[in-house]
Amino acid sequence: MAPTTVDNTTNNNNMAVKQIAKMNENKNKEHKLMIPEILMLIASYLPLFDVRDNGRYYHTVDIWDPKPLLRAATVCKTWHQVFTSVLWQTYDLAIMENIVPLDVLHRNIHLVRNLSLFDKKHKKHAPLWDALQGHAHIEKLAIHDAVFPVKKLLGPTNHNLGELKLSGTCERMHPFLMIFVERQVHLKSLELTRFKFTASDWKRIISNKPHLRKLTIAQQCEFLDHKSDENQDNITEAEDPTPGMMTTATGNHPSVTNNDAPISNGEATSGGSKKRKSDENGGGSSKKRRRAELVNAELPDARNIGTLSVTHLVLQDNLLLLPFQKAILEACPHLEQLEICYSKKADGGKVATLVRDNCRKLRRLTLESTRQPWTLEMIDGMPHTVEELTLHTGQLDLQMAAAINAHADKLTRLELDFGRRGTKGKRRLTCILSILRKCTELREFSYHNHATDKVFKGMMLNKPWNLPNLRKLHVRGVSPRTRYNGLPQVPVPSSWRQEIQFRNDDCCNTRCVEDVPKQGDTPLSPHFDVALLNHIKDLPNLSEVIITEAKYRKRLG
Amino acid sequence: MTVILVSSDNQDFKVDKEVAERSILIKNMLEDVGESDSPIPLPNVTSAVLTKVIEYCEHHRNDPVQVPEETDDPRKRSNDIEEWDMKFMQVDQEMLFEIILAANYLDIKPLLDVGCKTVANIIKGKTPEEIRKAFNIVNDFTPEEEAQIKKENEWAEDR
Repeated sequence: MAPTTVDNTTNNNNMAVKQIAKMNENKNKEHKLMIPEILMLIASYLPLFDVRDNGRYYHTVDIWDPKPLLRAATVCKTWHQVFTSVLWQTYDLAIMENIVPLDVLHRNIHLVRNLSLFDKKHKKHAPLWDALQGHAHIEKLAIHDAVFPVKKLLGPTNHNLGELKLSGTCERMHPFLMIFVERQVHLKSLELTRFKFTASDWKRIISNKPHLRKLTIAQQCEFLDHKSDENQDNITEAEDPTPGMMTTATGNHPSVTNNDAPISNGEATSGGSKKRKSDENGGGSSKKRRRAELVNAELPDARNIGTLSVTHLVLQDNLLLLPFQKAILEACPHLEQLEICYSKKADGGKVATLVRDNCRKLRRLTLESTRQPWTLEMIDGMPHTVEELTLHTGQLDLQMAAAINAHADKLTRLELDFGRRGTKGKRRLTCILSILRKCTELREFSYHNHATDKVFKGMMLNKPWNLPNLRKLHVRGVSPRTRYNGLPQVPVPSSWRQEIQFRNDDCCNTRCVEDVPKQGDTPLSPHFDVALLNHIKDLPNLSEVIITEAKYRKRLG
Repeated sequence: MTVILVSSDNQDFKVDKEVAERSILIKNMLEDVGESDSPIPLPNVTSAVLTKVIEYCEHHRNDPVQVPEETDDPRKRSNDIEEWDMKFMQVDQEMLFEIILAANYLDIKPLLDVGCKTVANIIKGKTPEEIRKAFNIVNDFTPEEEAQIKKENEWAEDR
């Protein structure tokens, strides 16, 4: 009989424990922090990555750290449900494959939403393959160089991807990838990098995506470079054809008329002439020629793709042809953001006209070029709706400054990033100061890579700044830090609070990471930082200044 | 132009339309109703919370319209809070939760974000027990469930 008594006691205890747990669960239900939508947002702001010094000077790495989320997930049942799913939703194979044991991944694979596949070694992860094949729950997929058998993905259903990135393809997989892309009708974002597609493919993959908001075309997509060397010889300096029509070289294909001759500017025809000559002498690639003929035959299909719902367009291909830019810009009247780089095959003035005429809702424009004439024409011709301008450029001269100043009443955000290119010096600073004098509506100004010698400092801090609306100022890449590791430092003005952040930018030479904690209660900063902070302290709306690695927050009165 | 907002405890708040329209809910209501002087009832927000919400909207009245996050890359997400917002959020916990709920109801994304970031900052670096204590949450796991979860998470703690 004794064992039965023990069993009963144990059972009673278990029931009591369960009852208490149930009561506690009910108690928690009334708590305000139990709404899943809000909990998910909170979870998304918990740090998933720990920024650590990787041992090399000035370099830091993002280390995936699931602990904060996992700890929060053990608080109660509701939190466990929400935080665990957030953790696995942010899981991405590309950055975490070495960290998560396979059995753990297998257990949670149904929660995974993002997968990036870079190389063939992923083949060994059986659970991933299963997940991919029934990829109903995968929302974001990145495939690089067709590393997996795409055929398996081509089921009749499960076309729920919201974001797809494809880069490079092998010939064997290409037709399957094409079908795969075409079937993803729910895509909100599509990125094609070094992806081969023809004119008719283009229509197939782009025109059946009513939810598409972001489209990225980058680096040598074959369609964009479809004019073969042979066809280049047939190019005539044709006038702009009927609006909305995409044009190309005719080649010898009978179905394409001469009306389809491409628009080409001087740069396009002059570039690559050497190569064309060698092709004329019998060195041309027959494969390329065949492909061009095929593309030309299909080109009419690529026209009139209708209106796309894209609001964010990224054209990062310096071989992008003007007809393609024309066709795509005309098809995107809802554009709010455009990131475009210089193309040696499209005239800046014409592209600017296209942007102005077609993108009437454009608010953000990012221009990337080291060619002053192209950048100047693009700024000159940008629509007056543009409020935020980012320039990744090697230079800034008085003409460009004047062009920016012409939009002074509209610009609320300006970012000038000179990278490692171009010259630093007085002339550039004169231009920047002239912009700062004119663009008084600016709320955010970001300036990357500049010199801070005595002349610079004298010029910059000579006159008061008239930027009543400025909220954020970012000045990055202050150069003297390179020379003085142990910079002479002075106390930070009391009206500012200093935070130190890590930065991965190569062109920024940060103070040694260890220097900061050593400062103790009285944070110190380089002379330049302090002089600048004192100079701008009275700007009424300024709340944040970042100077290279140091972030300063203005204390409230 | 001004609009009148009515809190759940029947208090009227006269606010500039521009300020009220920081709330997408109110903006849509105003668009639907058109030009009208009728007060807008907000049955889910008390006067104390509405006062705080209006204070926030007044301060941020000229902020540019927030463009939806371009990327969901967790590495690019920042839980940084501006100085004024940080001070604004220095309220007791009950009020903090109420502000979050009101921001959610009124559809004021930046305020909801600031509220959630504030909570995330409180959670950060705390053990589960400390979090429970901080937010007055009861542990509703049975000991077996808790042990099971601990075992499942061992892989992360070992790192």
